[in-house]
Amino acid sequence: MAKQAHYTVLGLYGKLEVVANAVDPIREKFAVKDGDIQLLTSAALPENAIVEDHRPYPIVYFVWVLGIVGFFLAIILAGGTGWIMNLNVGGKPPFSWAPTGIITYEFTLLFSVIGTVVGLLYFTGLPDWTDRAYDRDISDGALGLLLKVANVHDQEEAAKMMSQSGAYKIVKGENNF
Amino acid sequence: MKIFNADKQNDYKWAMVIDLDRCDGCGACVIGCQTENNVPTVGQDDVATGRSMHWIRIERYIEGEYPNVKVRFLPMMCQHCEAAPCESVCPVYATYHNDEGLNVQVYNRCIGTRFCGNNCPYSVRFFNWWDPSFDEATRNQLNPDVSVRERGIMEKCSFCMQRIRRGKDHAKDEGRPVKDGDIQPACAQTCPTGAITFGNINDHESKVHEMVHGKRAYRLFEEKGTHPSVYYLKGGAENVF
Amino acid sequence: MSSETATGHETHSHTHGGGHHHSPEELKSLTELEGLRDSARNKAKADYGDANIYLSEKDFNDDSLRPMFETKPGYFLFVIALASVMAVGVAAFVRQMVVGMGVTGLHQPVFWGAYIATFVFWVGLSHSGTIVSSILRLTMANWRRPILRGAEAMTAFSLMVAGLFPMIHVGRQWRVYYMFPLPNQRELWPNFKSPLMWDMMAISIYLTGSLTFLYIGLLPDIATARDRAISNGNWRAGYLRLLALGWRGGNYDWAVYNKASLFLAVIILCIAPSVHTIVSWDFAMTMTPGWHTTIFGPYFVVGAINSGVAGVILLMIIIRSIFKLQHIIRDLHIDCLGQLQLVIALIWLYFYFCEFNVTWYSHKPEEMAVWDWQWERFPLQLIAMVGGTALAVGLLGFKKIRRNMKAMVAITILINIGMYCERYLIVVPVLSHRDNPYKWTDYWASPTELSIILMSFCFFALLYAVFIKVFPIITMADVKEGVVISGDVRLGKHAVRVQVKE
Repeated sequence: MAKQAHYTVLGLYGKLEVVANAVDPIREKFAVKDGDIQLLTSAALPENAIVEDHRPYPIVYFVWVLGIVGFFLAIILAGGTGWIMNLNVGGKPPFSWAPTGIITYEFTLLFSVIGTVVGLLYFTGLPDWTDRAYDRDISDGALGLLLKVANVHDQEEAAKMMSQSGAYKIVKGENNF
Repeated sequence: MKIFNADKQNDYKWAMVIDLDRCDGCGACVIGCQTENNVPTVGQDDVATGRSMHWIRIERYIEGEYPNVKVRFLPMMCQHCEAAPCESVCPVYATYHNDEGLNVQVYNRCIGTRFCGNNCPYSVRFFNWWDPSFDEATRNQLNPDVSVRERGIMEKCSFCMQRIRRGKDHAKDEGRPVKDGDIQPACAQTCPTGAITFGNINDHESKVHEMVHGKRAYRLFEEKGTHPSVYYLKGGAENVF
Repeated sequence: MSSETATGHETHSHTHGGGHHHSPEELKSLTELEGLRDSARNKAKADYGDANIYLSEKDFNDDSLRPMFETKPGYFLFVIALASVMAVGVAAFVRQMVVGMGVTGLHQPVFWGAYIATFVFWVGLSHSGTIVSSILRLTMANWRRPILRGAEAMTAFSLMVAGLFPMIHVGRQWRVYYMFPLPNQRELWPNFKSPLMWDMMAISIYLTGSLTFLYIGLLPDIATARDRAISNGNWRAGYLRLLALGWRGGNYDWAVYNKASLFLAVIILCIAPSVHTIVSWDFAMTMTPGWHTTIFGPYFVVGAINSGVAGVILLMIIIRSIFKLQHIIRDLHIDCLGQLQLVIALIWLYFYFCEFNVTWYSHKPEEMAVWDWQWERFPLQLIAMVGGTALAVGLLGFKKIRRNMKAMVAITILINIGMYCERYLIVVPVLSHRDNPYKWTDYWASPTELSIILMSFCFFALLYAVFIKVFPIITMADVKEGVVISGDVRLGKHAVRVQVKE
């Protein structure tokens, strides 16, 4: 996605209602796909409240897969140690369910944590330290409407539309969506 | 008496019988053990704080009010439990049970969590609080068969493991199994009244086997289900004082 | 962009540098974000006697980031003082390692003493942080918002401190790695049947989990702090830029982020109680009378939350008074935490009742030996242990007390003194009067142990103090979210605050 040359426009708005009204005309005008328009905010808004985005984010698969990996890893580690180091400790059996179960529980959860983080990074595309379209006003409460377009003409036009719809600042960029 | 894991028959399963009627509390076994096993001397102060290092100790119990007192002695050492509570709690396998019913301590593996000591109801595991120290007189008499333990690790009665090894080696050289009486731990050897008997309980002809199946035999804290390998023969009512 | 620092409190106009099309009206509404208004009013009342000053999001950022960016000389004095006390503890530890464990007061059969009691105390303290944080996240309790960070950081740091103790306590500290399943030439592996091994696993996993939880929670706030640091040319910009991972806060990012936070909250909520249960099994899985009891798992978990919530309250009060954040961490938050504390303290008293009642009634000789010894040797500690929580139950029912910070500080400190005593009474009397009466002894912690325990408290304070200077201590994104999704609904003569959430 990043390989193809593209242009970006970032319009900074002050008020939620204003940006809410600005979004739909812009989407219609440039036939924007989900994900090519983003609202950058400093706090989470209810999903699809301003900018609709129906791309799925099934983090749960990462959690499941890594959780299962952790589950079997723990059984191999805790149960397998018992088999290989077959020493009689207090008359306990070589493979003992209680300790294996405990270690398995912990490992499953550990790997689920890892799965969640991997899923988060995968879907958000983080970490990305490149100079992406952004404005530091956003963390102070400004609402940044970020649009990805194909050419300079569209970029100019989108910038104009944003200004007219009440953006107090426009930042234009290239290949930095 | 039911013997734990009796179905798992090994040639040897070491056990000890202590006849409480014969024990007069002289403490020779303690000295014998200390000399044989390079047990460090910790000094008065540490003994006073409860850090005495005696793999075998004579516990004294005083019954009654003065002047009608009775003193009873109980030699106490590692009981080599078959279901040893100390073994399963060690996180690094520093203590485990070998095929001959011995609870063995791997000094090099021990990291000194002291969990085993906490789970031993008999309090017979000893921790090296300091670097081992020996009296000037005994420093050149250390037993070369036994390693001197580093500070920071656990140690305890080994049933004189080195003597068991030697006894088995001799028997092997002569191409025969170990006979009853071939092996004697230091405490049994030193005991002037012959209160301590050591032997192979799987050998049905052995003295320990006979004594264990007598009427006076009992084990300490039997209700804990630890199945010790040390058996005591009940003492009578009479006593030394 | 750099002229914004000049704006005073009275004039809440600020220039978003380079903005051409900006109409003052819109920006004004931005500055009047709902919900922050009340707090801003209170603050303004307190500071200037004027209730008509509104707090903008930028002002809120300023206030929340002030503990991080502005440092007074007193801070350095505090850090130096902590470090000096710690140096004593470190020296004591080095001496213990070089000379031997004999420098402690431990002896046979009290093989575990003050170190392990302190270890359990710190693990316990770590519990409420993530548990409270994830329960409040999952139940969407609105008052959770500003305090999450402080609670989560408390968890992470008290766990780090707790993790030191098993390593300080073992006989051969330089061989501690034998407990880790590290591949080695001799194929020696740890014994997974040992409760200590479960403990090691659980604590390291909990530490990993709670650090992740803390960091993921921090991510948007790191981005905010990053922007601020870049704008001000602050040295923090470097690591903040790195740790913010390029976070921009797009709506899709937020959706993914919220989902991930939800998962993490659930998973952490599964890990945390298991950790203290496993710590309790270090004791309960033995056959030592007084330790071997089935109640220990839940008993430890509830005790942990009891001391942990008290810890959170205490920390929050300290932070808000030192950094003047009373308009962000408001009396309301302390009040709600106080209510939570009341519930937990009641459950905790119930556990005491169960434990004492059962032991006393069945009157087993080996347990009564421990019981009698406890009452004979540690009567004050027993009174502190039950009294601290009982006092809390008696007092926390009153709103006036829950909103009186001095009273809350006293109550939470008393609860935690009681909880420390409780841990001490679990470890020490049981071992000193256990099965074999020939070996009954007494135990006194040595100066070495005391200085290392003191070091642990200083270490915790130091970690927390450093954290405040490098990361935002207020959960800014959560507070802002709460503002965005709430509004007033008019009901007759009253305006009622409501919150929207799908």
